[in-house]
Amino acid sequence: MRILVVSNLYPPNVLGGYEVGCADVVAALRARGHDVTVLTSRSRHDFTVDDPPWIKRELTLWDLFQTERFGNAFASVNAFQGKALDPDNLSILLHELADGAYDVVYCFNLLGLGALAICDTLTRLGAAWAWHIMDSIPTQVVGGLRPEIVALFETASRRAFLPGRSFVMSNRLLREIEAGNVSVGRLGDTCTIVPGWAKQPPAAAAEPPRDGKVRFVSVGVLGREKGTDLTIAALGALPAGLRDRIEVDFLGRGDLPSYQRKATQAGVAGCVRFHGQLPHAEVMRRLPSYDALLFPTWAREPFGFVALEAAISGVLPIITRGIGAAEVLRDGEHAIHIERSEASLAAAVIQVVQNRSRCAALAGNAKRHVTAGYTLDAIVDQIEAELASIATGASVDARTAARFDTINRFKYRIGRELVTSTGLARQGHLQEASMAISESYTELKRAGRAASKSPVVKFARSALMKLLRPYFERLLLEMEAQRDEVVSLRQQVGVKTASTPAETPEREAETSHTAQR
Amino acid sequence: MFTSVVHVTPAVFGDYGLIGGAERYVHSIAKSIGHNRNIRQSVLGFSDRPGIRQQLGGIDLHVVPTDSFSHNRMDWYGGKVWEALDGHDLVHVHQPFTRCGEVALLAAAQQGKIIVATDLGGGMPPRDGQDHPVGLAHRIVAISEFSAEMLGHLKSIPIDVISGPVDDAFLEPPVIGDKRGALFVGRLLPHKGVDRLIKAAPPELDVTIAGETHDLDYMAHLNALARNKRVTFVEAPSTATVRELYIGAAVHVAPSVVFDYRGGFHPNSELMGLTTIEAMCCGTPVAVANTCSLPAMIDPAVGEVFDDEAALADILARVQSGEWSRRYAPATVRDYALARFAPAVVADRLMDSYRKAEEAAR
Repeated sequence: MRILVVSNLYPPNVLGGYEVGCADVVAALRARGHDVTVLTSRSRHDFTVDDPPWIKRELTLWDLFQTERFGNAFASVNAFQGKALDPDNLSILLHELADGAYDVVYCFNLLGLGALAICDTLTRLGAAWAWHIMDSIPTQVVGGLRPEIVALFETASRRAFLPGRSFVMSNRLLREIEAGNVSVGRLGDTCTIVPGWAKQPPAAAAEPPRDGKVRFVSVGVLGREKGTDLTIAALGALPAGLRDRIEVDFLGRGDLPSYQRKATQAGVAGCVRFHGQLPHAEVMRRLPSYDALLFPTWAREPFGFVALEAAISGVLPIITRGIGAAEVLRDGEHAIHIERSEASLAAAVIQVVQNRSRCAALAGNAKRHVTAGYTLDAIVDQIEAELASIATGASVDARTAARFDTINRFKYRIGRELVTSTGLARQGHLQEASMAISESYTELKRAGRAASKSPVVKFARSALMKLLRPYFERLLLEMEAQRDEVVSLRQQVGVKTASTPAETPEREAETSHTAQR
Repeated sequence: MFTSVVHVTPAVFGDYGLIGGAERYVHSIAKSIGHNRNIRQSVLGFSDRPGIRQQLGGIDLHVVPTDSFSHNRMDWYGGKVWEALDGHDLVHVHQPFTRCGEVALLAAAQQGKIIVATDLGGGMPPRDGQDHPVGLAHRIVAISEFSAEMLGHLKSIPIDVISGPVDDAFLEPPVIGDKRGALFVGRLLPHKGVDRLIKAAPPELDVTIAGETHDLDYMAHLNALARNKRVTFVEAPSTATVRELYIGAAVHVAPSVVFDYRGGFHPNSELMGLTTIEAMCCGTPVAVANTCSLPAMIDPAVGEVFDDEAALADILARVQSGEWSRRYAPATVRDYALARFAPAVVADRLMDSYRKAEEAAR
């Protein structure tokens, strides 16, 4: 199959599991001989990426997280372009479809790319497309937009996304999306549960130290959502003697000093170590050296790849009840499910320490279970078959592409007017100017130039003037055109006018000034 | 071959929408097509109330909630437009230069519908060189030569000029007796230029002004002008009353202006002049201002065009003297109107336009 993959990020540009999962699947499909092209965004970071030609980093990613940093001035503009419509991204997609003769379009995370317009367009083009949904992206793209913006998009208005196939990671995630009153297809019909997967651990796995301690590991970004605070609190609640018999390693990025302090305050500094972020391969190499994974993540975890990676490494997953991975790793068979509380997590830790043989048996079950049905290969078998069943073509002729391009550029014009809170273009330009100043400042810092005040201010002023000038010029020209039109009509119908500005010396001077510009 | 048409308009005609010329036009168009044709039709409009679906005069009225609450009602539209277009082959977008019209054009284009657009006011057409979603239409039906001229720069889209139709209520042959006085029928708004009629009327001429008050300041202005003149105001007349007024009047006057008495600018104040057509169908000769579409609606056999108040005063003096009624025969006036604006005539031309749009959409 000739497959066009669309994803907001692609390694090495990574925020979380979504884009890593995308890369896993792409690599597996390519290994099976499929012709896969990845259309993704430009790098957000400083590194230079030496990509093969089949990775096209041509899209613009709208950073929805700027909302929190800059407040409402950016929220509406970024949310509109990121969730609803970026006409340039759509144009690039349409050109790719027109040129590429693809059999199927396979979308991953579309947040930040103008998701609604992409979904609307693919559906109405009749393109064969699938959407791999690893988080509640459909509800996120509809949510937070003003109703009159939502009304511009068919899928959002109908609250029904209609890919040929939607691959949802878990029943829990599907329920969450549907609870948001959004449909991604009928389960068993156009919607399929495609769970997470685990790659086989490397042959040269790390050996556990022979100190007799029970070794726990937490993998992932440090934070409340993933349960880091809860884990430290639960360890603090353990009997002192038991704490001496365990070790807990945290592998993941985050505010390490802060968590180190919290561990000290909880009296568990002696049994925990924070390693920071490690390459994924290194995580996989180290995993087999642990007895159990601590994963008291928030209950809305769509899946949790790490639970399966632990399981396939022979590590017993201790996971929050009800998360996506809990549908694969059953309580008491392949994992220990806990309520998301200190007491419940502490009880699970005690259970592992006090009954190591039973836990080892569970870990063995988990490894066999995941190896038998949830390896990347097994999941890609399912994905490949589903894609093949809908891959009837995703080509678009140039005329149709141009038509959809036009439709979306008009929608963009309307949407931009609506999202600037008063509906005035002026505000949009001011926001753009402010954003440009902010970005310029960041660019300066990034470029490593001396971030002294004067060049920054100079650069910002220049950006502001550059952005505002066309607006004011256009406004002036429109005002002049309207005034001339009215004067002319008044003369035609014989209405006497008070001396018009055109007849005054000031007006003549102004006209001359405009002409000079 | 298309079998189903949906007319999209910001507000439908009647209780759930507005009672204005544009809304009435849409309803009349739908009714005229409905005569003896197997075309399923729906009129879609937007409201701040919950969704309403009902039959009005044999037409399926579909009023859906608006998601936009702009102060300008012409900007109302809602996401339900996407579902409402389902099952229809052809989308006739009325008032395309409103936000509602723009969104309807985009929705119809995205769904691959056959698209026809008609400018009924509510917004200004794009200037030459400006892009607008109306460019996605396959054909434009202009309701007058004037309207067609305003859209003339959209060169890639063929334009058909189809004026009318007149409502069925004005088709019944009138029993014509003594025709006296001057009549204006329409909304009482400054751009209608009713003040010019009152000012030009001789003190002894009966002048009847029938319509809804939409502007209290203007109404006060008209009342002041009407002092010491034989002016009668008929507030919000029924259709039957309007017909009787047409039949009994010696002249129907359409005094619309581009610049109103306050200096307000109305570049497209009369895109068609429906009341002029209705009056003619009732056998009443007409006097129309040289404004927008009005001059092209008539010919010398059915009335006169006036440029200013002096010319109107001259016409009204002839009405008062009886010379006017001797010159214009009611039967001639009515025949002229029916040949051009009768529903069947208009529907035939409109269906032809729809068919051409369908061909262009292929």
